[in-house]
Amino acid sequence: MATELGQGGVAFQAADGTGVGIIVRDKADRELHTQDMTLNVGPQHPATHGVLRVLVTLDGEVIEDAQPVIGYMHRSFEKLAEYRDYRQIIALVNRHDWVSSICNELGVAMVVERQMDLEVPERATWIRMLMAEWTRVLNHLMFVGSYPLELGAITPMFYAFREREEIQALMEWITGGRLHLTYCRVGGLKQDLPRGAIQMSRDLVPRMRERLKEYEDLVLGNEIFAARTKGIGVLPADVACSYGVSGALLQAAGVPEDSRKTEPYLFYDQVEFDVPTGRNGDCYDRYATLIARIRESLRIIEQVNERIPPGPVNVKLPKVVRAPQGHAYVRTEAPLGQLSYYMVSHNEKTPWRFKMRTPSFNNVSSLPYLLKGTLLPDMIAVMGSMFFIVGDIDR
Amino acid sequence: MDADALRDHLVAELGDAVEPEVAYGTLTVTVAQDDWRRVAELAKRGPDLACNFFDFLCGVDEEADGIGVVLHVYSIPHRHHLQVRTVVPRDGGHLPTVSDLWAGANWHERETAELFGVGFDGHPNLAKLLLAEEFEGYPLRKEFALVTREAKPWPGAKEPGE
Amino acid sequence: MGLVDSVELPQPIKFVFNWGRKYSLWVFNFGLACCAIEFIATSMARHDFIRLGVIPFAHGPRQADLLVVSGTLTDKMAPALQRLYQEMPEPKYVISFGSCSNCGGPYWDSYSVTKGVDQIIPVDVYVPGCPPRPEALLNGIMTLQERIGSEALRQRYANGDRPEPIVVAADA
Repeated sequence: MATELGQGGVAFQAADGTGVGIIVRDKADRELHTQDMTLNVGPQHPATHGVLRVLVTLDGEVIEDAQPVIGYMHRSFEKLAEYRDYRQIIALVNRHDWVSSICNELGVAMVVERQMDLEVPERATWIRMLMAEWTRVLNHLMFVGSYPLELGAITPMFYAFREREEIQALMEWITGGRLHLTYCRVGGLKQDLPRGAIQMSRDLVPRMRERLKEYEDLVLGNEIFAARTKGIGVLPADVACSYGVSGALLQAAGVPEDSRKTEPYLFYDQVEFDVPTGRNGDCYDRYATLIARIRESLRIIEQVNERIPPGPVNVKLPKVVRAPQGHAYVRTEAPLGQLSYYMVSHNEKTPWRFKMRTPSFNNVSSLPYLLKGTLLPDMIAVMGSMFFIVGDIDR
Repeated sequence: MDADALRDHLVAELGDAVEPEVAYGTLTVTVAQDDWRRVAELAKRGPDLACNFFDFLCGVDEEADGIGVVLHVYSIPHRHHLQVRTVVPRDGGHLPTVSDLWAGANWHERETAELFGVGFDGHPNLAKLLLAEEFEGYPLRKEFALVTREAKPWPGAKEPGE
Repeated sequence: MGLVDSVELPQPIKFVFNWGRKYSLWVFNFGLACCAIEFIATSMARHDFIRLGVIPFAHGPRQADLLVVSGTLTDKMAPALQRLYQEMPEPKYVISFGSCSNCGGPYWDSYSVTKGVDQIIPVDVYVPGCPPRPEALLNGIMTLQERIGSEALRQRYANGDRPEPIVVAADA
């Protein structure tokens, strides 16, 4: 039941007579003059993952325009790579997506090997797959823990880091490092697996699987989480492709594009796994896709554990490594999305041009599209669901 | 389509305007500056090409020849890659924008403009993206020397590659 | 700050005063890059620096006494760091965590990286590593706590010179 009030408001009464609500007329009829406000989020902000700054133009609580300002972590990888030997780039390049080091190094080693036509031993390729998949699980766990933290749920963060510590113990056993592993080399790996590594990996898989169920119950089943993420930040598939959005974000929009399936590299065509897709492309789907991707990675790890053949793990390289004149392109599926490397060589000791096409750069460039028209509290939910790492954006 | 079939298709469509090259399984076509927009539109809208996924757009310093610009796109339905390459002059080189065809090109063109000094006509906002406002120079050009390396030799025992 | 920085406190009072200060450091985590991940790992259940009294829940620089700069500082970000450091109330301490904030690290020749955060703000403890292990950060915090414990605030503000920085060795 509605009654017209003066001043352009409408009062209504619920059918059972409880309470009165006032609905103000919409913008076109309003007599009040309003002004847009510009709000600066970041670069130092607890909810942004690192130094991302967003200039938000607000109309009340509705975002009219959001411009990300990036470059606060621009460390000029591409210029530095032109001054470093082909082998030295690997140590540099595992730091742009700083929670997945092996997946970054893998692409560099592959592009140099492709240009030099180097044959990588089989054992090295299988171990690379194993390390890449564990790194993928590490990366996804980071976001599985930090996304609910941004929405106010503090507990999953501690659980996720408990998992990460166990996997990092395995990484440390194999490579000696916790975060930046520098394990891949041009032509193979740095060293062979130590005794007990495969058994550790085998034991870890069922433990991780069991704990994934905890996340699904704790987070995905939570009403508040669902209310804050369902229907928010919908990214349609064609817009996503046009922006070059890839990885879990594209898969959540319904496109099963994963370069491990469409253009298999390493031995991904010899293991069985699926590419999980979402239906709506909203924040909830993105998070659910992330957990499903962890599950698929564990499946791959289980299969790889049993299939590593004996043999050498690297090839003997000449003292001076030169890639022949020309250019090569390699596309890999990093945990955050599609990571491609394009390298131009002029037959010198260092590359001529080393282009890193990082997934977060394109993912975050779609923020203006996603944030237009959303409410300010939803901005954090949308930004967190982009699963970006600032070093990956700025390189 | 695989790279060779794609190359034949493009040569059939565009004739002399493209110089195709297949290297390590990827097709790169070199076009003249004036055909940039035409080839990009064909890549996006041509039904056999249908390159709807934007990969990257970057610059390559070609020294005396100028500044090369490389556009790399991918087709999700057909699963093929296409690289389009052109060269613009070092001073005042500019190309028409492709950010209306692929929204992702917006940021990539901004980055190429600030790192190499290439202009993009029709781009909505060619402001600095990664570099600080007061930064001077085009860092990824070969003549831009790294100051720290000039001031102090590399602390390691040998230069890379020695 | 009144009496504390103009008078040499008697030893028992100084001991209690410093003891209170060093075991309740509220840290403003200026996490920039990869070292921030190791910082977060240090605050989590396994390594847990909260048991040392360092509390990571400062709401902003104005409620913090310790600034941990972890990660690469770029020239674009430097003014923000300067401003946030100035917003912190005295007495404040700075730990430079990781080799990028110590000296520029692997990006020593980059055109956009500040070679070391001590070019912008004064640093008390340097923790080397790329990234340093969580145990190294715990060691760095304990070193800072030892220094605070023996500190005379009057001396700290006397001539404006900062005390010598302590480099935490990797195997110490």
